[in-house]
Amino acid sequence: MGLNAGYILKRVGFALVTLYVAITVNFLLPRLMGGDIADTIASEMALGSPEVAAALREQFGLDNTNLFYQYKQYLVQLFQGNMGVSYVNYPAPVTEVMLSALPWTLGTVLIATILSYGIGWMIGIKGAWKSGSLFDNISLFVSFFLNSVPYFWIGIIMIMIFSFHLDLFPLGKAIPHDFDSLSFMGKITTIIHHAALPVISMIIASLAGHILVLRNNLIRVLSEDYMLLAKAKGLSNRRRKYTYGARNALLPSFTGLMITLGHVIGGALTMEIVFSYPGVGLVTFNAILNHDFPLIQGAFLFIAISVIIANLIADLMYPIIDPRVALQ
Amino acid sequence: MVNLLEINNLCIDYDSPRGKVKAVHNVSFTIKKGEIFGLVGESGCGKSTTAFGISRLLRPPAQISAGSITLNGQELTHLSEAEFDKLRWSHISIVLQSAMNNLNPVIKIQEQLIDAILAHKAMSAEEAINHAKYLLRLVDINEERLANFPHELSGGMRQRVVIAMALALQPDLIIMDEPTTALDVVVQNGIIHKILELQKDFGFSILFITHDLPLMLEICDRIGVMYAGELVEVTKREDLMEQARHPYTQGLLESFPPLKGEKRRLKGISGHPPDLVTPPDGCSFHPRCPYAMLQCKQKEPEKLHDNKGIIACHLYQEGGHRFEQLQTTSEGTK
Repeated sequence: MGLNAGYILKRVGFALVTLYVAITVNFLLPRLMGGDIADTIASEMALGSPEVAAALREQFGLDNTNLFYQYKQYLVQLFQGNMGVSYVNYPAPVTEVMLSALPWTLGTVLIATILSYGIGWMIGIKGAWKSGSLFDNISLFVSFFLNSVPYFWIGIIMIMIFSFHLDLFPLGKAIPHDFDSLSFMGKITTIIHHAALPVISMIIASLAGHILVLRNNLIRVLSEDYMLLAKAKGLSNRRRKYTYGARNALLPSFTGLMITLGHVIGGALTMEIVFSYPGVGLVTFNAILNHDFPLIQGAFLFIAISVIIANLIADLMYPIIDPRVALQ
Repeated sequence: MVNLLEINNLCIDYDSPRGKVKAVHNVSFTIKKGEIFGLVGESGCGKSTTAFGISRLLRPPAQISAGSITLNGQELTHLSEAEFDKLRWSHISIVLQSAMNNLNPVIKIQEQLIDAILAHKAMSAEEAINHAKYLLRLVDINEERLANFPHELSGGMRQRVVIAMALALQPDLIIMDEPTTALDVVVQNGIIHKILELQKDFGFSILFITHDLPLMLEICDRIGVMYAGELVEVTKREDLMEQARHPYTQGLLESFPPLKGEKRRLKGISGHPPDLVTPPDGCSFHPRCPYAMLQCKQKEPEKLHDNKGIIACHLYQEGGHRFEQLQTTSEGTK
């Protein structure tokens, strides 16, 4: 059966409602904080000049104090892709700041997330299939160790060993200073070179959870009657392991993957700080430190939209993966 | 009739932290071609373990420690995994408890039916699908159901699909481990009649396992009673209905209400089955047996064969009270 039109409409409708609520909350939140942003900025950069404050108020669309008018303006501007101007990166628009950070985040966090789940699942399947074997015991021990180590420590240790002592990788940043002078292939190579440690460290830090969840799920699935029947049918090991076993064990982990993917756009703040990597996480973090309200709002909106889209994709894919869902 | 399956002195143990658990101990019986043989006993008496031992589905740490199993004269215990895989489903198939879990929830009925066929026979996918349709018709299920997932079928239909699946390669022996336990009585009745009908048409043998003795009396040709990992009695159905010989079998019969005749108080069997790590000395049933004698505590009873079947009880040993009831004839039985 899988997908049916009613299910798709329901899910898409639900996503649109959620999106609308997220946009509205994003509009209201800064206004609930109180204080006048224009005054604050004017006092910082123009000794509190009322003229500057008034000019800023006009630019921010705060000169008309009617909340509904502001809300309408906000929605109209948003649909035109205008999320305002970043204060810290003045006069760059928020959209531009976000879009310039986005490729770095997607390139590292997205790849690390997918690889981490993929590798974790393969190790988990192998361990569960022969639970109690040497491989299983080693992977369990290493998983519990890694699971209890904080990410920043792994990052720092990797920089210390591979960048500082062995000098194999750069200490940080996404590109070298002479990036513009490099050839196309040289640019690609140096980007991968810079991204290697961040990606590997993120994989190591998140791998353990994926291994443990899949291993436990598969061990539970392997004790089901249909696995015994598959063996009695004389099906090949491969078919029993993947089609009959892993397919069922993956269902809960798949939900986890989709939730994580939704948060990828938010960046990996700790990684970006440890490696001085210019991703969305660092942009958001700096925006908060510098009271850059338009940028904060923009970042939150980006994150909200990506989480909603990822959830929608998960909802639409789940009935294909687990046929029992669509009918509910 | 020719013997299809012969089991001799089968022992299945598994290691536990407390010691070796003798789940199946010195079990011997035969199943003839086209026969329905029942194994009955309380939970944990080793009836399912015996079945899994025959079909090589034991999970570690359980393992066959001694004995022989022959199917059509071929010794099974010596076969390698790859050799045994060839026998699976084409010679021995299995129907498990009808709970929700017999069919894989994320795979369509069609694929689950044909993958068993394709694993053993060189057949085009189209032929396999046609065969799957034929199988579903055998169990009175509309062939359109092939496109369904298991959750779209009722419990009774699912169990019919599993039975159709078991027939896929026309095996010699179908092991049915409590095939109707999780179904309601009406559905159970339909399934049992379907099984009997198919058995008549195709002539396969059935090893039928249940703890439901009245059901067994209804359908099985011969019945083996297991207690604490041992086969204590093997009897033809007619003889068992007339008079159970082993005190444990008598106790089992008295635990069920009679379908006909006067009402009587159900007795049941007092006490609990013994610990299989440290089974009692002598006859393992003696702590619960109303007829227990001194020798029951000291000596394991021999398994005596007579023309009614097998009986392992001191009452029937030489010098026992019921020795004269033993009917050994020159032809012997096995």
